[in-house]
Amino acid sequence: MTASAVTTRGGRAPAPPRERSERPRYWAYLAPMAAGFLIIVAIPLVMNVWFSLHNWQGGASEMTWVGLGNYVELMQDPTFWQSFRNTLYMIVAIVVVPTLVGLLLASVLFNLVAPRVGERTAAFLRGSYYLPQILPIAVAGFMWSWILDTDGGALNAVLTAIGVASPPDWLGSADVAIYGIMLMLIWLQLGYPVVIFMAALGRVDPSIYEAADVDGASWWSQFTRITLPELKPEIFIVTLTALVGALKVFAPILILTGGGPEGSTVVPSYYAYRNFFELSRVGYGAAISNVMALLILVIAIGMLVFQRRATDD
Amino acid sequence: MTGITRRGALKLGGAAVATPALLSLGACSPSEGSSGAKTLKILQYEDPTTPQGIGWKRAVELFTEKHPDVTVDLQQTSFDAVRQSAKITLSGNDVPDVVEFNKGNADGGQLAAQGLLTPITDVVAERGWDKKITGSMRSFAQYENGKAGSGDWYGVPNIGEYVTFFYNKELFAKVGANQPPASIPELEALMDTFLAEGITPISSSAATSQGFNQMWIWYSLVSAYATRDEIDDFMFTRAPIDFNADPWRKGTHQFQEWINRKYTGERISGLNFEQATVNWLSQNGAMVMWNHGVFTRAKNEAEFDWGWFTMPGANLTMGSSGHLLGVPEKAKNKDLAYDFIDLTLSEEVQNLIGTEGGLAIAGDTSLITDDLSRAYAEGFTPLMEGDLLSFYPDYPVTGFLDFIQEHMQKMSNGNETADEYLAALQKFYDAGLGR
Repeated sequence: MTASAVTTRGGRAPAPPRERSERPRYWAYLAPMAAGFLIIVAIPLVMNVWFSLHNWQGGASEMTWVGLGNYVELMQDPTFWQSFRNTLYMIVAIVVVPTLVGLLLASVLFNLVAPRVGERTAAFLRGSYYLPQILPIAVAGFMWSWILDTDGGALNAVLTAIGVASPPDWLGSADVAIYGIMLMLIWLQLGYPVVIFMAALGRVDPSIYEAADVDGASWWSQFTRITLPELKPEIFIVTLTALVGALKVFAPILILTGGGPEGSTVVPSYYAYRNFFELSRVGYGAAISNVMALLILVIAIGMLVFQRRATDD
Repeated sequence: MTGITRRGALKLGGAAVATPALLSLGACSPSEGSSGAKTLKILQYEDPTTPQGIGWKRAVELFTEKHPDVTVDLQQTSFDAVRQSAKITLSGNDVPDVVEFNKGNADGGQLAAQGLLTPITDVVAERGWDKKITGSMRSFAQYENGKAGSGDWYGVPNIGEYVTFFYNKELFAKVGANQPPASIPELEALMDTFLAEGITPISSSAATSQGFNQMWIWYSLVSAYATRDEIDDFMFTRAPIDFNADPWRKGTHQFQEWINRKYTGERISGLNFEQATVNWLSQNGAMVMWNHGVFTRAKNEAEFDWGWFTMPGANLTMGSSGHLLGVPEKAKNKDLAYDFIDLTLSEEVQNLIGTEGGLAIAGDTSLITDDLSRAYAEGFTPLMEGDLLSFYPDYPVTGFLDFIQEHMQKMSNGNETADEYLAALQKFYDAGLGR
């Protein structure tokens, strides 16, 4: 819909003179994309930077210029740094664990389960791992708030049943709440690498595995010598997208803990939201978003450069 | 192409700008057919099954009888949606004619200060609303430079609310208590008896979102020892507050004592008020402290004999007026909006709200046929008329709610003492005034 609107607008822009060479005409085809980029990315980004240089309560209230004041304050804000530390936990839960476990699972499903038990079982298991990804996050969040519930929660019921005398107060204790969130995120994220890696394994020449089998290579050495090197591009893509996801994580925090207890699970995007909407500190919230956007951009570019070098070698 | 398409394209372009900025507002669509018939748009968040929701539905019917040519568009949204996006909704070009909003400096005060609401002082006097809304019911309808308590009227409440202990009469009888305690020491002795019997005295909660029970218990204790002036100084930021002096000191230290003695249960920092209510309804706690929300729940769901009492022997009781109905500055049909608000304060609607179990501000309690509802309303009237309500503690400064919740969790988890909390409170409150 947006595209059609943009096309209409683009079409109304002054057309290049007919006699001119063919070259400028190609720009007309770029116009829809350029307008879309301008409206959806560039303008909001510039506005956000503009907001962040002001103290502003939003709405019709007055904007006061503070220059880089919000950024200076941000650097000294312990909650902001706490939110960064929590981002490291998010990276473990969204990038490290799911990617490693996903690799193992994909390999087991593809190289062991599919040939020995059957394709359908492997496909069923793959689908099951992916299921959390298609559940609406609100549903998943509420489900996990029941699972992690201190008194009647499923997790603590299991822990009590196996003899844990005092199971953790998952969402109520500042020391463990972040781990509760990590559990949910691992569950949520796992299916994504499994599906990508299994698709990738499909493109690996089966004769390599067959040759390895003939030579008597174990599953583990096939995994380390064939699977890992062959899957390098996919591992890279999964790591990059998951890393960006980990830096932006928001909804699970909002639903499970609201940044609590005692502010122990606050993450940057939630902190930005809270300042922007709840505390009416629009400029400060915008500053947090900008720092995060910059950080994500730097990391993404860094990883892309790294990957290009790696593939060039 | 035709003009319509171009307009459509512009609208879509606008939507494209709005989407990345997270401005998903239900009230954005322009009212159609504005050329001929008028439409009165009301943006509100009361559940249609609550007393106020039922009352407003009746008000809409009465309005339609009075103005047959006007269509009423009663829009349903959520409390959080208005809290977070009212500033954006009301500064747009297509605003509702009547809007419901939260009272307090952080919400209503900001909207008023930013010029998004119409000052309605003249209308209030003209239509006699000030005769119906008096004392502490009026405090949060008036704002001056965003501070409640005086100045122009910006909104009108329909109902009041108060915070009480709801108690399980059967559990009380089990420990030999046949009536509510008459003083705080008596209450404490009773709670010791419950603990000895292995019963949690108060079912409570302290989760970041919606775990407000602990905060209400704390503030009820402070209110118990406070004078009208002390609360008003704090609430309306009239004078500097020393949080290290009574009633703050006494109430907060007693609250810590209650936590230490496990009166409010253990491991409650992850629970919300709904869970605390359910725990009480399933008899896993002798009492729960809440407002009319639990009254309605208990009436419909409690499978035991129950009752309620305010903090025994308290000077002031936590409570206030309900949320407000106001008229946005940019509203197109202001006179119609005043007509609608007038109807919500009419005898018929107010009495309907009362009969349905709401604490109608201008209703006649003697008309309520249901015994429980009448007794509950009669318990409120003297507090309202005697100006004995201490409001809610998060009103004075922006961001106070999150701040208090965080410290309620710290105290409940044993990670902060009363003195540490009071010091943090002093700092946050004073900084909030400077903002």
